[in-house]
Amino acid sequence: MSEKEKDVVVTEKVVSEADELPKTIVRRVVKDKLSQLSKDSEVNVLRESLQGFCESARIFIHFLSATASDVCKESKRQIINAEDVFKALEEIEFAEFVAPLRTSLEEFRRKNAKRKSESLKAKEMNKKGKMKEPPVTNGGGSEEEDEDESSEE
Amino acid sequence: MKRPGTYSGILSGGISGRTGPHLLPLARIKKIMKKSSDDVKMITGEAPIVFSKACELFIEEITKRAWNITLQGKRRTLCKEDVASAVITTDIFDFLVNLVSDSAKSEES
Repeated sequence: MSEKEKDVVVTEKVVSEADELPKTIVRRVVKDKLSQLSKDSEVNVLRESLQGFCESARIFIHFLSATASDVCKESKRQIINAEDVFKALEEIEFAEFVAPLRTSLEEFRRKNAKRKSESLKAKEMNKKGKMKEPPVTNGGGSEEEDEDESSEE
Repeated sequence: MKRPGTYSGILSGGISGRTGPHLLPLARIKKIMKKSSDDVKMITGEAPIVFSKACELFIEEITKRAWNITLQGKRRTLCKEDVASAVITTDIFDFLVNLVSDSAKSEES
């Protein structure tokens, strides 16, 4: 009886959805890969098998995080960075992931740098625009400028 | 390190286009990371991004191996037993063996 109760406890140990990866996105990754692998015909994926993919990915994150944390500690630091994650991947025998991940990270860094410089430029333009606008109390000159601006729009 | 502008830009880019560096939500990944161990307290802004892409590659790897098993069985529907077999037959997926055995036990009961 007690063993059955234990079994029930194990099966009822369900992870809440908020702690899992979103199924729709996992499903998209699986479907995209399958369409690459079998271009001729459509492949079906049973819903219950998606659960296996989600759970596997969640445990992968746990495993990789714990390993990256150990790598970080060995370097006597407290903040896990990207390099710690790359070393951890090599330790858990996923070294083949490191190269494409580095490429992906470089791409993200470039895009991020672009966005930052663009937003900085936009801010500077706004500031300059505000400084150019003369005070409202003056006469015809300012009105003409306003009209010009509105016609440009 | 909190950079709200950075994240909001990435999320919109990642979800709207497949050319984005990642698809999986960074906040959810951070949550799972912090639950993995008490030692995981502080992570840089880039770490969840690397994790997101690593997860994608991992899911693709399992998919490829499970699909091979589906093909060997001359089927066109990938089922969870194919995923379980892929885990069991691949050395680097040893850390998932407990997950597979738990789900097998639950089926038997």
